[in-house]
Amino acid sequence: MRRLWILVFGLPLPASGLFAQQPPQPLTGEVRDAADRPVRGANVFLLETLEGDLTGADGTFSIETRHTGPATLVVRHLSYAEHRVDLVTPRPEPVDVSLLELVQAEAIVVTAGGYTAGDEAGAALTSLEVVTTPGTNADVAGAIKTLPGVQNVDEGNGLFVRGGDRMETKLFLDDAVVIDPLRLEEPTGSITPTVDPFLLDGIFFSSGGFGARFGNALSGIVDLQTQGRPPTRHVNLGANLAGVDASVGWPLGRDLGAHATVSRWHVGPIFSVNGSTRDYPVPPQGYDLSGSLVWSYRPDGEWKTFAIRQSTDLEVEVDEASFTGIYALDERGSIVVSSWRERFDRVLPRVSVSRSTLSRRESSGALDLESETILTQVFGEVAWSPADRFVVTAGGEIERLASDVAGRLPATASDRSAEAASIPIDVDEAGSRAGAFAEGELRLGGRARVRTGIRTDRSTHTDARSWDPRVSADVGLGGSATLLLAWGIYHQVPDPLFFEASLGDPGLPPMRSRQLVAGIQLGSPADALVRVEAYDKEYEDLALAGLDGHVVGGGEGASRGLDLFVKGPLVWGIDGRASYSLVDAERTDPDTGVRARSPNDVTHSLTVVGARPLAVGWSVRAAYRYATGRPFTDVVGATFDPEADVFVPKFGDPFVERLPDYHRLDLAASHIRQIGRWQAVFYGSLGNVFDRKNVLEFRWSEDFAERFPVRSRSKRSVFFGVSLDL
Amino acid sequence: MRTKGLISFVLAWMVLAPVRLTAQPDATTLADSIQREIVAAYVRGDDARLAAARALAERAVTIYPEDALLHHYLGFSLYRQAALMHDDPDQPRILDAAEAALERSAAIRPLPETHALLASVYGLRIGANPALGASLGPRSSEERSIAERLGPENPRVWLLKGIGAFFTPEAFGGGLERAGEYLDRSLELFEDDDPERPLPRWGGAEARVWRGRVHEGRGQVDRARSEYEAALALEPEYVWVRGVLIPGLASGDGDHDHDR
Repeated sequence: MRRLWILVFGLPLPASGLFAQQPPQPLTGEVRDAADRPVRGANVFLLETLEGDLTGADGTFSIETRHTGPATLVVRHLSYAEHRVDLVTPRPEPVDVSLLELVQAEAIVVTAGGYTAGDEAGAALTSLEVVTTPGTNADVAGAIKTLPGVQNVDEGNGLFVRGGDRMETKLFLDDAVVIDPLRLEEPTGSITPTVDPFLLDGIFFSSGGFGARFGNALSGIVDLQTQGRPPTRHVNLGANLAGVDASVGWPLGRDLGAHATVSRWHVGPIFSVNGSTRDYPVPPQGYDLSGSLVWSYRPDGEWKTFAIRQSTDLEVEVDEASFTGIYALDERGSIVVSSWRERFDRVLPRVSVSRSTLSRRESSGALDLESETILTQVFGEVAWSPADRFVVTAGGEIERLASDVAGRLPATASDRSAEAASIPIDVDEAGSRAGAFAEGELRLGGRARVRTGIRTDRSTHTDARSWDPRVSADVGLGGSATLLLAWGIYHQVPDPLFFEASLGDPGLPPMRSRQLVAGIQLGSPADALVRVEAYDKEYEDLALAGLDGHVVGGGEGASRGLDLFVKGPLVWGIDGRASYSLVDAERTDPDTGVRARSPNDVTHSLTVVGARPLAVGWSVRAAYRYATGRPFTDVVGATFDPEADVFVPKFGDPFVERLPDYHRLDLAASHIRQIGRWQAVFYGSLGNVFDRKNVLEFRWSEDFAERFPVRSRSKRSVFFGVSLDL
Repeated sequence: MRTKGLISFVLAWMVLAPVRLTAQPDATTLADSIQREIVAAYVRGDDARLAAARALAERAVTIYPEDALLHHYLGFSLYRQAALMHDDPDQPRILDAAEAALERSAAIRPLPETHALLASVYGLRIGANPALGASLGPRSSEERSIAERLGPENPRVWLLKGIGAFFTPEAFGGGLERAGEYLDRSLELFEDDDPERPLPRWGGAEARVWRGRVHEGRGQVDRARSEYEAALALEPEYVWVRGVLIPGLASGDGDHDHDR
């Protein structure tokens, strides 16, 4: 019996009920944020009774409770992470609570070199801004090119970041590496979207100083996250001068959902309406098919499989000194990525498995190549937050790249005709790379954050291990000013084809860069934002392809510059943004071995975008782009080779000359209208308003005595279409 | 002896556990109380009371995370708070929370009012930033469609549709004409509206108010006054009607946006 009474009075939980008739006791305290400022309007309550109080302007609270014994005090506020305190009541001494802002707890909002696009807080570009930037054809890469740090080298969607080559910027889709983000390359760049922005939930672009999580990229990264479970059913149909598309989002029950899109694009109608600067026996065309299945089984738990298949066909006439004929391209690519993320209290694991394929057939004179590339990758990471201000992340990836390339390449740059001497290519090999990283993030006093990390990679192609330490910090300077700093070492394995003995060097080491970034940001993207960053990059062990395709290792280089980004309301109700990049880049010229200007040394790049709503449902936008002409190597003479029956050019000093400066103005307008239950968006644009004849390269006469400008594909052109939400 | 001790423990627990459980109100009682508080706070224009109702809803969903009605009323209270904000930088944050709560509620148990409120939340977002119309307009229409499918005879669905139409330009499917039609339908349905507690049962007086505002918008002052007085008959402490709308009719000041 004695044991029974011990049990009765010793039990902690029922005890509160037994003492329920005691007079209420005050439980008081104060809620402050990480910067020690009082938090107003926090909901403070006892989990056991729901008795609670809202904090006042001074952050204090007072709860009258009869509860006695162990209890949990919960503190909630929309702007802060929930906080719980275990205590015993009655408690005469006050309870002090420190809350952590959600924006600090959830994501990196601002880092040196980093920009986000999407609808989350802190995004530099909203989703709408991505799809409505004039002159980008709703292309993700096109919108990213309006951010600072990307040089306007050509009109394509390759990203030339801070003086680097486009292959130095890697594209990730749901953590999977995309084999080659550039889909359709011409001398003036490529013209089709990389990924439909409507498939995406978030975009992160870094022009440098990115963390240890991202490997095998020398200059920049683009991290794309596809959409989660659709909250509601939606059907969208679209048609424009370049094709038709349809997309469906469908919630399936409580947790499942699916997306599907199909699009067929054909540039022929655009050429028919606007004309073309060159002849296309087969105008650029193709299709995209994509789908995803999402299982959001918990708010923090999601399994998603995303698949996309894309195709491109093209035939275009080329007119070179030694060859006049057709360049033909037939490309098929696909990605399947299955990813899982979860949260177990303070531990957040994430895993993705992907398989990407790219088959490509291209021919032009002596060039005749057929390739099949398969990239299989497994990525995983675990983030652990043992304390509110500290997060440790560790993970890694293993990827296997199998390349099968067969065909021939012209033996020299001077003769590309079908009868020219050529190098046979027959490469069938596979290589793998394994990378691991660990990173720690520490918040100091609510105003500063420091991230340090290290990653290591080993590739069977280079047979060498690389070590990349990286550090970054952002420090609040008071008001809305934030100081941004980043330093790091970056390695990248050269293109697998560069290891082929007939073309390159089987002993190439991984390419290396050292980046230093320092900047300051004022304001916020939601209001007005100014960001200035200066950077310094040094390159070593670059593998560089010369004019005739041969590969030279051991290249060096450097890139220094300044990036400026301004965004906010302007005059007359116009919202605008401007990006300016100043760069001074040089690197080893593979043909002469001397250090010269980088081919991507576009000294000034400026993009200004403005948008203004007009009457109800109407809006107009404009974008102006300027870039210094890019460097090129001029031909200063030629000798006749009677054996090959061609003129062999004599080149001047490498990359001394520059193309003319680039200017372009694009205008766009859209109108939204409800038609019954449908919502229709009508849009139209006028590209290259002043029909500026921008020159993106030169071609020469057969004897190299005369030089002809190769004009940009973009004449003044109209484009229009409609999108229907059913 | 050990068995006897165990039996003693179980007996003690059975006796005392119910006492313990009474310390926390049950979900049904909480939901009903929260709804009453939201309605009373809204009618009286009492911001502090509305904040307290929201706080109680937040507490309730903490202990009953799978209760659809509690999430619904949390979303409803946040919607009410957001609707009273004009050019307030906190409004997007409140709307984010309202959307999350309503989506959670709809995922557990889809109520017509939940989807109608979601549509109204998107409407508020578009009202604050018309550039979002392209992306949120279709979602708002979709939620409205779901609400109508789930509750074709639900007066609150028609009320929220009417309020939405009141603030939507004719070119986008709104306008006074349509708002009047929807509100008339809502008023018809309110005549037989008697849902079981704690299901949503608000909106009777509000429908009168918005019908009056449509009349006022058309310059039909007497008809507007009649509707406002009908609203006061249902909710005598309706401060917006008593202090703003009726005096506004007398002074001819028609600029008294309050809610949507």
